Amino acid sequence: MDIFKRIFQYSAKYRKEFVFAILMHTLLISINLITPHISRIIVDDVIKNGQRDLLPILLTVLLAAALVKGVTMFVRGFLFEAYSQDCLYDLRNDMYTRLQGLNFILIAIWAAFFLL
Amino acid sequence: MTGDLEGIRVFLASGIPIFFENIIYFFGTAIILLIMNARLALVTLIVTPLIAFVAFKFNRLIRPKYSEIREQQAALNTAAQENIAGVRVVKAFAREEFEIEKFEGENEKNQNLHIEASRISGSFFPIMDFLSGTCLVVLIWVGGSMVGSGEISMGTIVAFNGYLWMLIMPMRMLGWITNMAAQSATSGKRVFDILDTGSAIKEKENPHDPEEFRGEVTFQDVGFRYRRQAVLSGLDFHVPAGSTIAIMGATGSGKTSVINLIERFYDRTLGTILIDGVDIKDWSLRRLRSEIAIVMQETFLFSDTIEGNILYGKTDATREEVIEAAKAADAHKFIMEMPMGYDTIVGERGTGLSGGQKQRIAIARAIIKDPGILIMDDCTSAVDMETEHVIQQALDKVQKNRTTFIIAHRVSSVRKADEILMLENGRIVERGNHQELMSQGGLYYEMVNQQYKDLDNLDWNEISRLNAELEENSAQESYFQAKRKEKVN
Repeated sequence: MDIFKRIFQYSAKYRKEFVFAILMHTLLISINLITPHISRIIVDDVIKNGQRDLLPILLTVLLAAALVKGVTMFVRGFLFEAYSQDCLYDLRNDMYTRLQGLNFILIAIWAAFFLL
Repeated sequence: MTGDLEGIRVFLASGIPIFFENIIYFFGTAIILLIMNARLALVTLIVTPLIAFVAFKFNRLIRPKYSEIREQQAALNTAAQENIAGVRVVKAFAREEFEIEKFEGENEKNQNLHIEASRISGSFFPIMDFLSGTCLVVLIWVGGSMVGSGEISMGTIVAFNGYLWMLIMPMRMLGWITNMAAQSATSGKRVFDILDTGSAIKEKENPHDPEEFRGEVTFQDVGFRYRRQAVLSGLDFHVPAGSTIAIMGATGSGKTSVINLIERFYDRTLGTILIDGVDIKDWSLRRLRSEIAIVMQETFLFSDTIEGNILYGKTDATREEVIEAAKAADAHKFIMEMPMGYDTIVGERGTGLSGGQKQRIAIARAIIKDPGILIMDDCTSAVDMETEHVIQQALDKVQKNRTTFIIAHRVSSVRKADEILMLENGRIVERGNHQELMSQGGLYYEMVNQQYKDLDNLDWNEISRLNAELEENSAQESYFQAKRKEKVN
């Protein structure tokens, strides 16, 4: 758990990106959770009870949901990728800087370790 | 390093969102189903603990298997890597068949482990599909009768079916998520282990950084231990600024360790090292290393132009300074003979240079730095005698008015040094200039004898007498050169 704590501490700088990405993700999940409920209304109210006037509205809602879902998926994917890449950029730079400061023998040990 | 960082990136970019969405899906769906119809929800969910148990069991079985696979892949890599690195030895001993068998053995273990992992995964997913299918059967069976009795609507069953998959999916993903989390934790540990590794060499606060650097080096009873083993002990010597000191000795005698202590790649264990009368530990590390240039046996040139490689010693130098350094290192002529001159790309992705040419570029790189201390670590041992002569001439020029340390095996490289230290098991066993050591008839004398005995039946007493008489020893140098050439031809 300590390792994950440290990874999150490392990414604290990019908290805004992370929070926004999580919000986008929550929106996407919410849309997915709503979809079966709309299916229920279509079956019960439109097909069974014959409320045809509801159909265009529900279909529009489904289309809008699909559209929002597509956009949300794109934004969420982009944000999570940007967040991970930003963290990776810092980690990579810090690792390289650290390696420059290590003495020869430690570098040799680490090099051999990573080769394996 | 790249693989471990990628492991962390995958965790951040995919692991977190997938973990988050599965939590929301599982609890969100369970709540929605309970709200829609608590009885149908509870009946449908009756199989889910079984699904969770199977997923947990799968995780327990597959994780050690993945761990074994990772270890076996490391063994496979080692086998291939050793074979590639030692290809000359393999071919020289005609051991190709043995190496192939060895690799096949490791490869077979790797294959078997993958098949075993596939067998576990292969049996897991059908069980999960069966249990998921059971949920659907229970839903249709119980839900259908509830629709028949008017307890729930048809639409509710349709919605239940949609939500059911959202409930089952997180449990199916459990094994994958825990495995990815375990891999990310391992990667993270390796990365943070490096970041947490402290440097043994520490610089003090307000370090010594004078305007003038003379290059006077003093070792006072210096000892150095590495991994509890004594490498150097009781080293006492003084190198006045601008003089040349040579360190000779057999492999493992501690020659390079002396240089590593001067550069502060390691810290001495005992005694004191003074540079210009100041303890080496009080010096600014950056300043100290900027005043020292080293020419090594294994010359490394970066994939860059010749000019770029020479500029590595002084990034703000002008083209004129680069040419001047190259001339001093006797490299200008062969550089100008290249089609692109100083703009020729060398190194791993560039033009191949001979050992002597690379060495002279390395000397130019050291010269342009205008160091206070020049270290030549066995830099002529890997080149032929003619090239050695050319390099030696270049070095003679740049050594002037500069404290120089020469580490060498060849007597011809150290003969002109002001003082020669003979090391044995990390201790100084003989010291003096060439003439003094020759007259002592000790280890140095034996080494000279050994190096030249194959050339001719020389009269060593006569040579010693000549050494004393000839100040510059040019006659002996010419004599040896001529004899060596005769021998080579």
